[in-house]
Amino acid sequence: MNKYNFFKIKKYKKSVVISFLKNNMKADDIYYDLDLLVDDINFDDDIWAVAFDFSKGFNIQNADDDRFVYSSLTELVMNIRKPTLCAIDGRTINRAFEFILPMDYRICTQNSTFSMNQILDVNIQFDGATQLLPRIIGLNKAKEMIMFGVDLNSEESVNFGLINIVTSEDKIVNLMIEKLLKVVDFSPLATQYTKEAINFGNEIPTVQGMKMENDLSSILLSSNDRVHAINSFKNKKSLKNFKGK
Amino acid sequence: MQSIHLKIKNHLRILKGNNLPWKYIKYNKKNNFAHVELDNSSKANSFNLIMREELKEVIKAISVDNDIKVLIFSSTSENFSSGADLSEFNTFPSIVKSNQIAKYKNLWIDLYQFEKPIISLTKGWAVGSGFELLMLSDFVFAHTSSKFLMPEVQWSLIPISGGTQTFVNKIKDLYVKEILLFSEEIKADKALKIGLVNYISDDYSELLNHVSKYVKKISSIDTARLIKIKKLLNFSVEKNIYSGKRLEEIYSSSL
Repeated sequence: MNKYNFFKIKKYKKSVVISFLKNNMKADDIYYDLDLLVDDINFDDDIWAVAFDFSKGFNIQNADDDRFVYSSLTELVMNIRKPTLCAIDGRTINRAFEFILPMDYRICTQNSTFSMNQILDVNIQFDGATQLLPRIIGLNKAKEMIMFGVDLNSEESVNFGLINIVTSEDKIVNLMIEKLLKVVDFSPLATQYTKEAINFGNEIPTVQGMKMENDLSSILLSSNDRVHAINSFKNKKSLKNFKGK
Repeated sequence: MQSIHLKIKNHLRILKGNNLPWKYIKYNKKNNFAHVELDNSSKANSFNLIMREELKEVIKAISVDNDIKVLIFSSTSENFSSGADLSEFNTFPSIVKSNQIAKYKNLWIDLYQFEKPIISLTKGWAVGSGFELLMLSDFVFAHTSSKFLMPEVQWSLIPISGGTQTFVNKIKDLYVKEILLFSEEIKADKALKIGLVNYISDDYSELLNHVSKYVKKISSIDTARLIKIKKLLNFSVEKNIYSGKRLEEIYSSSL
């Protein structure tokens, strides 16, 4: 997976860690690479989870090319079917902030801050913040951030549910890897279907969502991993080596 | 499978407050509340097929019992529930049949649609479906010994008691993923902080007093009003705010 112009990919056990080659990226540059990368992640059976390493800071500027101004990076991240994590340090602003919103687990350093000031630049957010942020931190705080450009520091970010864990700069990468390796110990089919049920369940009435949950569970019934897991339970054997089949 | 005749007979007996010989639950009707205790302590209060059938039956009867205003869940043992009984898994002959039963004889959907307030009292472990039952409750009071876990992804399963839907309605997205996708254990103090439970105490009798206060308060409210307000609040998280607002207008004008 070294065919990307703007990403560096490092393989770990059943997972990949992605970082940007430069801290300051243009949205139109990333778009092609990310589109390709998301497909690769989704269809590679050996990748069960993904982490984005922004522990050296990162920034995403709007595209120069008019044709790509409204190309959504966030939608591409939302299309990743497998669990996603990110490690963040420093100031995360505007498009970079929107980029981390669809991720499933977020870790940051004590020095991190989060903000959006598009509205002050005679613009509004167009890459998902108005829809994703209220679901993450609640409507009132999201309005403060989006409409008044209010910043969140690391402590506030944890309190408002934007960040799972705050840690120090020297520990952040290890913590990210630890969480990544934890999630790849689980059945990859179960994590993908659980993620799907949570994300798409958000869009439909609760009872329909509960029925969709049953359908996804029935698909899992026929998987080798499920049969292996239940047999292990019944025979009191330790549960390891899911195959994702 | 029970005959319809027997079901109707049982239904009438539950309405009269008679305690049937339940195998895995205990049911008591006092004044204007119903108390259901999970009672499968030899298997850590796991939900087996019979227990789910019993719960379905008792809930149906409680829902049409005009004397009852509140339903209370608790357990007879040190733990609330260890979730689904995994020893019953992979025993159903057909995936299609199992899917049909899961979808159309679904206890958890009945509980989500149960119109009266549900209060749950938890201690020790609440795992999988046990945890999800708490999320189908309107108020959860927890002893400080309480621990919560959704281990499904560890067993190549996904939640099937509404967890992927009800957690989203109750707590912030990040915590939903932390619990369901990363299978992280939650202790009582964090559960209170993130909104999974309403109240915690290290004194179980104080929790019982707290429940009694809630029951007393709720009992003073007209049942029709209680049902409408619960429906409206549940509707508010169904995403369509305009329909919810219209329903609010219709309901308030009919009171």
